Amino acid sequence: MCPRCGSLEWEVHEASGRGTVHSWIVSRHPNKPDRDPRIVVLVDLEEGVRLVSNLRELDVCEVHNGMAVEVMFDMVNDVALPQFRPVGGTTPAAV
Amino acid sequence: MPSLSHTAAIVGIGQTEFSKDSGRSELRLAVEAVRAAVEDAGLEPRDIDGTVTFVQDSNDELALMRSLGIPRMRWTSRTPFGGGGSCATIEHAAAAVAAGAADTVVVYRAFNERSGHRFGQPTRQAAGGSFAWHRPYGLDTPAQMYSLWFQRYMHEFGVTNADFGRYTVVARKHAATNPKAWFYERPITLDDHQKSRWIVEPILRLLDCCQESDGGVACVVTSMDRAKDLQHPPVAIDAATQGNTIDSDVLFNYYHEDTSRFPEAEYTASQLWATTGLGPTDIDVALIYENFSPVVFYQLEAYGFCGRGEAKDFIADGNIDLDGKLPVNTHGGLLGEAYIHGVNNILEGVRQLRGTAVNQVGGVEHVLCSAGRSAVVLGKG
Repeated sequence: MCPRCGSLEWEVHEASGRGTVHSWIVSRHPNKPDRDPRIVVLVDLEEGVRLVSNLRELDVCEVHNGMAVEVMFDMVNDVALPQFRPVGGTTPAAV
Repeated sequence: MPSLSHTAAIVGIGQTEFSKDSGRSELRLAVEAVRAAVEDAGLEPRDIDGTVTFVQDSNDELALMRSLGIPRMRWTSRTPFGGGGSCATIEHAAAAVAAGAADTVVVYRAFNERSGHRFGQPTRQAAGGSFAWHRPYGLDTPAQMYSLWFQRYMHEFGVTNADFGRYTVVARKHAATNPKAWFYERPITLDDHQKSRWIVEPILRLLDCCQESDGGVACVVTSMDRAKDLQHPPVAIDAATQGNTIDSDVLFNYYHEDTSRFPEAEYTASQLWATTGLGPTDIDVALIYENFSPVVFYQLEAYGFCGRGEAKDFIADGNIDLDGKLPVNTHGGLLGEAYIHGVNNILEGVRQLRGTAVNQVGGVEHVLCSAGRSAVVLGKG
């Protein structure tokens, strides 16, 4: 229910998929070691929504609060899981 | 305005030993602790006509009555939000007594949290509710869940893991002289802390995490009038409240605009100060719930014991030591004494006001017990 007006109607809006890192941790599974440690992030989307996701395609030492990120999707157990990566990549394209 | 202030008192406390393997059922821990608390009050089990425990507690009220020989009970209630609601048990008990719904209420919490179900293991709640939004990304344990909140605090104020370690050193120092504490005679140095392994990088090391403990604790609440006739000087419940705010979450508290704050604790603080007319400088001892060391920092700031971002200096300057401006977790806290879900903090508050704590602070008039989203101020009866 909408906490402002009490409406039960809802609709889907497509977000830009761009945002910034609000906070981050390196998560290592306590019992089952991951192949790579997962970087878990809170992302502030441009539209004002905050969500939990993972940061991909960069090294842990490059993560910082406020960095610009963009969404990508990963299929996990038949679910399209939103993931984020740095905007424009982390290493300049070597052409 | 009607107020809970000073209408009820804590008149008895009891506990089992704190261990890693109690070797007996949770129900047995609960009844041992309750019986000890009732005896401490100079009462009989038949005098109890109400109970309060956690929603999470496995011990059925009716089983407790059968085991203890409580013939009739007219009040039972339970508090949500795990340890964050630990001080709300006192609010419930005081409210029941103030309303005349019960004469004498026992608050209890007992579990085998190390030898039985361990909270620190990856949660069983794989999907459903807010877990569905968080678990698929690798937030499997409370340490990971809370750290995503703590990291923003570190970023805002330039706080390091070593700053958190300075709290742990104090908690372990206090536990080292408390024979009931699991870490009795086992203090640590900051170097020990910094050498303990990362649990969640770069926020929490092993020694920032509370213990896993087996044990039971209980306390008896009755009216201030009745309390005056009992064997211990009453410990008055000066104020008791909860602090629930919109957009809050117990484990995933990420959705307030500013995550370097603890709005729930700020709300409890404002209510406690308004009810009692007291302020931060009137508190002689603070017992602060810490499943993880950083929540002490948030709470010191939420209550105004220091300014925003200043908790690291407040702690480093010795203010929370036994001879400091605000001794904190004088029993060793949940890191040093035991993790009995925060209710053991309330018992330490009672001991400090009775003058019977092992690490007794001089001239204690007012004690704050804070679990962030619930809190009480205790005073001399």
